[in-house]
Amino acid sequence: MEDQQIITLYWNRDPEAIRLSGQQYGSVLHRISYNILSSHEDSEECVNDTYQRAWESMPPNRPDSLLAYLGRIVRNLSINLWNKNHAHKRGGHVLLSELSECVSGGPTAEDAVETSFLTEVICRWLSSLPRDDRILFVRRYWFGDDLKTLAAHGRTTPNRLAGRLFRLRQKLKERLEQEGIPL
Amino acid sequence: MKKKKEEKLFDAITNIPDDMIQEAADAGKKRPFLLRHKWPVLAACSLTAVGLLFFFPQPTPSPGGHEPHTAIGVENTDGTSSSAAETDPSSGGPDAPTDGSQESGFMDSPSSGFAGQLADILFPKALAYDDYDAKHQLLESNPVDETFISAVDAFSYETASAILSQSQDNVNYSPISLYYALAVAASGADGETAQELLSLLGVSDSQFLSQQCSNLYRCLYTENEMGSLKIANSLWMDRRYTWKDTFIQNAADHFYSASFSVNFSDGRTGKQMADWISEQTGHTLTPNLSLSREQILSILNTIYFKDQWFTRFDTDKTASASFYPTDAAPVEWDFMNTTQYGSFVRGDTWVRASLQLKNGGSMVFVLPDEGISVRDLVATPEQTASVFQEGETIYGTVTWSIPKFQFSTSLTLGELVQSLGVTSAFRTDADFSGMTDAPAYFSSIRQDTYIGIDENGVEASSFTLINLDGSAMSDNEEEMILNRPFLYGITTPDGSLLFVGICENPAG
Repeated sequence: MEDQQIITLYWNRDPEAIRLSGQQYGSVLHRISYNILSSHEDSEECVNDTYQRAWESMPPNRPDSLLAYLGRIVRNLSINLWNKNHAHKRGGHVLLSELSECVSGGPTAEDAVETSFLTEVICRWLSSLPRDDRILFVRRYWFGDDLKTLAAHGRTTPNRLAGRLFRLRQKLKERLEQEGIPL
Repeated sequence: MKKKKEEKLFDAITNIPDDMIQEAADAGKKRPFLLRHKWPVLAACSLTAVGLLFFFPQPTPSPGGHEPHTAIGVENTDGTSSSAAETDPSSGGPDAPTDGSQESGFMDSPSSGFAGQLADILFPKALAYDDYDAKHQLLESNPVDETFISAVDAFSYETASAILSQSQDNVNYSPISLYYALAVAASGADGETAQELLSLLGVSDSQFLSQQCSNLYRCLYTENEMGSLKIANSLWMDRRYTWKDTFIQNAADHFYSASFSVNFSDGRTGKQMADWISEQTGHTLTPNLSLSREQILSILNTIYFKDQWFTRFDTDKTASASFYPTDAAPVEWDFMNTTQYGSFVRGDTWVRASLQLKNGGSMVFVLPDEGISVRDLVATPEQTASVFQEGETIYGTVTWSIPKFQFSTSLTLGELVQSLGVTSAFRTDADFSGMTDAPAYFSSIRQDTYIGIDENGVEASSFTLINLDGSAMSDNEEEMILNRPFLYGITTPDGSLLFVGICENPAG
């Protein structure tokens, strides 16, 4: 079924919208969440909460891409749950740890950097990349796919892919610095 | 509590545009995404259609000595072998009487419904919309050389610029259709005639051209629940002449060409050709073809393209508004409206944005700034390529207002092809000895096209006929309010051009 048809069901307050969302995107949402939480039980909880948030937010929202819309919700819920679960532990999430390489170690003025501006810079940077690099970056840091999965899909080795991702992170760091983002 | 900087980065990545997410989602389904995707690029090229008509001067039918062709091969779906359709000498084939005594030039055709048909097109196996493994395998087994893609691109922009810049009204042109029709002709040419054709087509070797056209054909061929991209070729040969097996076999093997043995003096032949065109183009084109008595061969190419918008327009948002043609009074017309997060490019005197299609391509719209003529944007091949390919992509909100339109155009392309250096083929001493030992030359090249867009998607088609005679806002917001003449094209995700045209007035 088309995204817009499912979204119309949300707008019509038809619970069928949730069943169809699960049918269409349940597995990918679970994967996104699992890639952050590494727990099927917690992921299931986040995915169910995602449908609830979608139900509460449509209307008024009418997204173009239901996958992107639901995916953003499940990412936010999952990282929040991960933070909650690990509040008392040392160390960070592997995705956050890798992304920390894109920011400097010096003092920050993070409040000055609005997420929307940061997104805009990242979009411009992503759009300047070759298509394959852009897809690789989004698969790794939006969908959270692990290196083994990506390597198998790209017919390469995890080690080689790790090197490629490292270079991409360095490029992003350079771009953020060029844009004067004080991270 | 303040967020850590990497968490801010995580949040920023969460909010990247929908189309980047969708792009990665599509790539991640099955198909390996670390390899370059050639097929969408190639598909873009296929959205152009060229129609070529070849006329041969009507000589005295050459006396014997020509080897009759007895079998016509048609390529199997995997492109690796051919089957044979036997000609029937008793029913008007190449061995038929040359004195014109037979009343009809048509043969019975039990399988296709087209009289005089010697061999039908055996289209490749259609792949499902989401069968990424099979698509990947298809690309690997049908490699298309980068130099060939560059040649097709250069040909597309050169011819598109010449045609669009000289047009006055609505115009739609399919470069790939013209390219295929000329390529079939080149495969039967020799000497200076072949050299000029190959030069225009951007290749140096006829065999390479045939092989690359063949591979490209299989990569482009699409027939699934979302849409179609079908290229078809056919040879219509005067039954009184002998045509060389090698030419017919090559056309069947590499161009998926059907072949017909006909009598051009018979009034029904033109109707048969028009019916064939109509059948291949989803009945969007049914031309009235007037044939010449001097004609001995027609090469036909058709392209049929249909696809759905990735995000359909809401019909409830379609509303009437004014469109302002260049030299005419404003017209009230239905405009499709939507606002999407996407990408756009701002040029010096234009804005470009595109809408995604489900089979991987997109339709590009280029709106000139007010006071700038749309034809100035296509004044040269370089400028044409620039408005479709260059500029820094900006991601943001695009407010769309697009007039629904559909129109057909008919182009005469003989003079254009001559102006681009192909002159020998139009002279009575042209060398098409690869097709027949009878003298033959181009008499005309014609291309008809159709295009229509609505809330669901886009449909476009074209045919090319060659006849031969015998010799003798804010930074990240943009508005695409297409209420004045605009340029459009259908391209692949990598930016290659599929269809190109100018909508001067949606009311026609």
